[in-house]
Amino acid sequence: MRSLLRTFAIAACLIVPQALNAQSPDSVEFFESRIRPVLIEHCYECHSADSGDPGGSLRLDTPVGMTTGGDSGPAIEPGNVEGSLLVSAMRYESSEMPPEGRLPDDVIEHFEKWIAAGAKDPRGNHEDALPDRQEIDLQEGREFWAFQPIKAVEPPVADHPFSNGLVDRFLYRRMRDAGLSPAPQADPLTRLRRLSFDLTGLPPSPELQQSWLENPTRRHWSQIVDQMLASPGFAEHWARHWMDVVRYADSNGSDFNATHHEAWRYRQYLIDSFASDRPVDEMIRQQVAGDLLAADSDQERYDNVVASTFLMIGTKMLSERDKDKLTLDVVDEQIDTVGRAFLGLTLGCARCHDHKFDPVPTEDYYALAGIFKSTVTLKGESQKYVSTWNRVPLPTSQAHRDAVAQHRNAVASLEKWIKQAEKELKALQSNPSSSHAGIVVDDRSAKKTGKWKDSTYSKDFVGEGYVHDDNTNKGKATIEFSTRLPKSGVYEVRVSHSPGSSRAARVPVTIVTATGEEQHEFDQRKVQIKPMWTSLGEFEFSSDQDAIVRLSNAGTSGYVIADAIQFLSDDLPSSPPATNELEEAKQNVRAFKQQLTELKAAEPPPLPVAMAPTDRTTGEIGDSAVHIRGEVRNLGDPVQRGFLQVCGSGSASIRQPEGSGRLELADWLTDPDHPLTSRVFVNRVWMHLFGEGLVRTVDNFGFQGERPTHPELLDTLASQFVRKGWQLKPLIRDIVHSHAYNQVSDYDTNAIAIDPENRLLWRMHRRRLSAESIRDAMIFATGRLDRQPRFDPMKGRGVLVSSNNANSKANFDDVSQTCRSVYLPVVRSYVPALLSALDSANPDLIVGKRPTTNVPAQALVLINSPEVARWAEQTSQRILRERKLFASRLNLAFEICLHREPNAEDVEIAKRFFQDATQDTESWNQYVAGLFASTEFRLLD
Amino acid sequence: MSERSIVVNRRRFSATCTMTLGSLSITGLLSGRSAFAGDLPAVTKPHVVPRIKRVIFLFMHGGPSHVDTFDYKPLLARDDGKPLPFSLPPNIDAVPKLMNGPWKFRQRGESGLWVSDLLPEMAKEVDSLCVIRSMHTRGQSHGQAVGMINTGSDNFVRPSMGAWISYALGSGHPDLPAHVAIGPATAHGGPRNYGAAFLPAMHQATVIGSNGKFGDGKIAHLQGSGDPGLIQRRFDLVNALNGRHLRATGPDREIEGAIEAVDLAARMRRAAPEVFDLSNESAQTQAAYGIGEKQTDSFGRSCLLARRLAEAGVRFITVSSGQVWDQHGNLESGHNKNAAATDLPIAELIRDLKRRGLWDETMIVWGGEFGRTPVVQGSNGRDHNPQGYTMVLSGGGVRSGFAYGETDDYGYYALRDRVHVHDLHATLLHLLGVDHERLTYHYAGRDFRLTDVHGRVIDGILT
Repeated sequence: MRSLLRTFAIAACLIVPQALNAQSPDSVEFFESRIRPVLIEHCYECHSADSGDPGGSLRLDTPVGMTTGGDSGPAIEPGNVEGSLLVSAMRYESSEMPPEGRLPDDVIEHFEKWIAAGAKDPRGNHEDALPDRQEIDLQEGREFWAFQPIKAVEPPVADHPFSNGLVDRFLYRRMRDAGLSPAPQADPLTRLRRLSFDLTGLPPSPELQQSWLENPTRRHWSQIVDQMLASPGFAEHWARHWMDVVRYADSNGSDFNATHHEAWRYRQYLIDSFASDRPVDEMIRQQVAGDLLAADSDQERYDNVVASTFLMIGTKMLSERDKDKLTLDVVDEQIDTVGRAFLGLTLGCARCHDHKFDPVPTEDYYALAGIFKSTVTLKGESQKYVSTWNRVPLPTSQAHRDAVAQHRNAVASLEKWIKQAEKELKALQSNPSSSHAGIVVDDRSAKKTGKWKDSTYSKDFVGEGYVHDDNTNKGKATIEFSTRLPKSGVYEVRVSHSPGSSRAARVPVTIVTATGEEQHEFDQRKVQIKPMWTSLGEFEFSSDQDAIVRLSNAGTSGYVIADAIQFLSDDLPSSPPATNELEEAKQNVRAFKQQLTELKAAEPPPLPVAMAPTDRTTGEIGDSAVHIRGEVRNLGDPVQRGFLQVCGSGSASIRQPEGSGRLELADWLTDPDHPLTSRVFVNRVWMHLFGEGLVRTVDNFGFQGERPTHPELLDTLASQFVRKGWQLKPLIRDIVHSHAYNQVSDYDTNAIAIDPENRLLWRMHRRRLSAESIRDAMIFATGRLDRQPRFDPMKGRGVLVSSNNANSKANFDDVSQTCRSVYLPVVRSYVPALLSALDSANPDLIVGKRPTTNVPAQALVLINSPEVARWAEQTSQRILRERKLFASRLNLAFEICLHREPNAEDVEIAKRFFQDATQDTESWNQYVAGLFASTEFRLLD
Repeated sequence: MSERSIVVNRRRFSATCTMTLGSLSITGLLSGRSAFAGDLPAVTKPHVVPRIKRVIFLFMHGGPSHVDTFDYKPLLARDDGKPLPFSLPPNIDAVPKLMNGPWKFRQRGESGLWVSDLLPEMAKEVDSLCVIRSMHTRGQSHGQAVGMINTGSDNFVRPSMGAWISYALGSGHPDLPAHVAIGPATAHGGPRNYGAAFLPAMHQATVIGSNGKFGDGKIAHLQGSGDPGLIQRRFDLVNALNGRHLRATGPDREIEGAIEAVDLAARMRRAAPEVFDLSNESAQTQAAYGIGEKQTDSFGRSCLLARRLAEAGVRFITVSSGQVWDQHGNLESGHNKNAAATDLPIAELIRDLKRRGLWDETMIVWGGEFGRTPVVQGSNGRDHNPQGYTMVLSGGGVRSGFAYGETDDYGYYALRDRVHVHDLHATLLHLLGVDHERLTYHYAGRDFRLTDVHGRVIDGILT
């Protein structure tokens, strides 16, 4: 079809060239011969009714399609060539159309003429001339459940023995309606193990198992819950949950894996905040605008600034050379993160066009973009073309500041001294007469003819180097050393040259003495006086005329070296006093350098900085224009900075932004009436405790997300959460006291038939432990888990975590350390296989809910990785050390690995495994390794 | 543990759970066949008639110079040292002075295509090559361009081409992965370039070696260290413990899936050594790939393994040269060295596939993340050139001994029949029987594609 059209177009041109030239650009004939064939051949494939979904919503097969245009606006403005996008696209100035290649200049010229002449277009307009472009109806959008105000409702009356609390009453109502009932409570150790992993990410200790078994009462349960909520383990574990959502990483990853030296401060801020139960609304404000918040104390200022690292740690294409594009991409990443983390909305979808599913017009996206474009995220370059990020000083003590300043001054002045000393030394060294006996003339001051090549290759020479003839141009190179000796008399003449087999054997030399010229030859392959001197003999010189020694390469075979000539006489000191001076100078340099090394070793800790944003300066702050189709240089109308219109009934614009608008954004996000923020957060907490959220798509509360299974429960929990001060611990406490949380996860044929996905929570979900918990539990079993926090994990790393070339040998084997997993550095591109195979969060992405995969790689890493084998061995050694009888060893193995007592079948399997080798160390190693790799180890029943 | 009870449980479980299809483990269970089928392949019925079954991507990381290999420019020789008669793109370090390369171009084979003396072995196979001279891409720096060619995105985290193909088609071998990366770089995105991003994790590449080096040529953790007897014992114990767990809980997709995974891991342990052991090849074959010669040994092993994997049914194999082609200076010595390491193994791979009747159903893709400027950087180097460069295809479904597209007179900008990287991706999927617009994955509220909203199949190169 296309080739037919092409043939037609060509034929048309061939047949009537004369006539065409005469056509006027405002004639129908001109359009038919010059314009239409080009449109058909090059444009209709993508921009016509037949193209299905026209590219950029632009249709070029009707006049109205051209003048109305698509996403970028009108394609042509009749009469205005320069204002017509079609022309700039054909010229490859705005976009590049057609994409397969720029059309010839004369074709473009025809279009210019045609438009200039009014763009006469005889084609008819069909009814479907314009692609369907629906306007978003915000009013209708607000009717969607997630944008409705949160409504707390009174829970249904308790009418089941298991449905006493608020949570259970809501859950039971729906179960009853579906013909289901709650499962019975799980046994005490199952409940304890579940609680312990959920609250602290760690297994219950054997002692706790013991005391709980002795007294499994509700009161004791409450005590254990409170202890766990107060433990450091709780904060570490729940900080890790939030780190998933905020794509936490200690390096940039991507093209240029720059070290995030300061990210750990944010991680520690999260741990400290969860430990102290800092209100979540405060945390959100700090993370979005901490650098702008007022602070009453240094500690508060520190926390505020460090929290805003949240905006900074996304992965960025730092080496992008088009910095305007990079800025937009970073802004996009920030909007996407804020949208999904706090609002459960996929705002990134509105970058190029109105959101296809959610009531988020592209204007709302650019209202937010204006806020982040007015914020400094990137600043400066770490090397040419490669951006780095903004850093904000953190408060510290005056003494610290003084110490740093003092140290800096001391280093600077010492460095100045070293420079001076080195200069003196160099001066002494470059004056050869001072370092060698007698009077020395260096090759630098000799007169050369022909080609001499500088060299320092052989290490023995006078001054800064020597020259050689490169063993070429024989007969054309001479070098003349001349000096006026202070006294007439007899002098010994020595010549300096490093020896070697490549040298010339017979180098001619002419000596101009007081009595005339003398010709000699000498052998440069060896020296008479080490390391580099050959004596030419004694000659008489006069103080009235220059003493001259001239080397030539005439008739030589091999390299001719010329370095220096030495004149020695009894009247000249054989060892000049300057040698002492030289030694002294060298000593000076050495001593200063030593001092500098010592000073640097005693450097005070650097002034703390955070990886944090700041607002741009007043002149640079402003609203953003819409970028049509998300393109950097395709600008539409500016949009006043603001928020999402659908989330409230009032205006979503910031009337008079103070600075970038992040403060206002932070307030808007944490407004008690915001329909999304608290719902999204509470839902995340629910998911961590039950395995699934009340809204299962935890990062997507939009139309494409799932609807809540229990909307009233979600709203009631959210509104209580807000009313009680946005605190996490009370929320968790309420939930883990529910019957729902404590029920068995057992299979039930009838219930499965009614609700196969357990959406109504007729049983507990069986869940997989996180990668971190699996690793921590293994080290816990060895008895060597180090509970100390770790700070500054990237200390000592360079700008890049590893060099950007093929020989990079970066090593991050931290997984074998004994600290909790949360303290291991998260180095993008280097996530340890053990953790990634167990579905740890991909730090490149926002991960609200981790995927749970079952692939062979996972089985292999559990069964065969050296780390797991080592931990198994250490655990087995511990068991063998602490217990002697087989039965009690088995008990201990179960207590510390599976956190329960072995039953008859377990014993049976063990006996079959050990056979007669119950004392065999290797068998115990294998047995523990088997427990580690088993499903029960990594699942929570 | 009784094997029978597990089987019974599986049956019962399958029967009860057919209404909840969609979990990874279940379909693996139902099919009970493939370690790497996971979910059923996304494309069970080809969108178009497939022309090939697999792709071998020979990734010349760093960016080989097109004007010194496949894109012959007589004017560049004529105007050596003269100023470039049009302007440079922004943000580059080269100066606008033309530099002719040191290699002589000749017409080769029956087709008479021009190939320089830099690649004498590939030149011999020129009649099996489809040379696309009008490639262009996004990204003036390595990071972006490497992301473009491997994932279709220069700025965002997206699944790699191999992951998409694995997701689309699954593996052609019941016990081997669909997607393997040999010698992938740690720089410029590293794992992202062969990763799954938001696709299920199983689609990320299984990795052999790193940074252009073949290494020990083995899958990590597959065989484990120590006595094979002990490892077998551990496998048996894990099976016994998991079986007990399942009996105690009743049907459970997570436990069932884990049991299946252990079983599949064991099968993979049995299947892989046969495929990965290059000593199964004759001395003659090994020598033909340059194995045993210092320069070609590593890349030769990689190419030979790629052929063995292709034969075994792996869908997408990347063989990376390592980031070595980036000659901002010393173009001659650098390119000579890289060509010496890769040229022979690549040509032999083509010949070997042909001998075995696999070439018609395989697509070899040769190229870097971009080309290099026809103008000089420093005294003897070339800068990055995403505006126009060459990639070479060899295999079924495309025209052979054929050149497509043109750059300008000096090789700077792609001019005629321009082919964007998105177009290349669309074409590779098309050859595999997949419509790039219909291969989608729903994530974060919308459907994603390898080609984003772009990409057109390059009709002009298809047979």
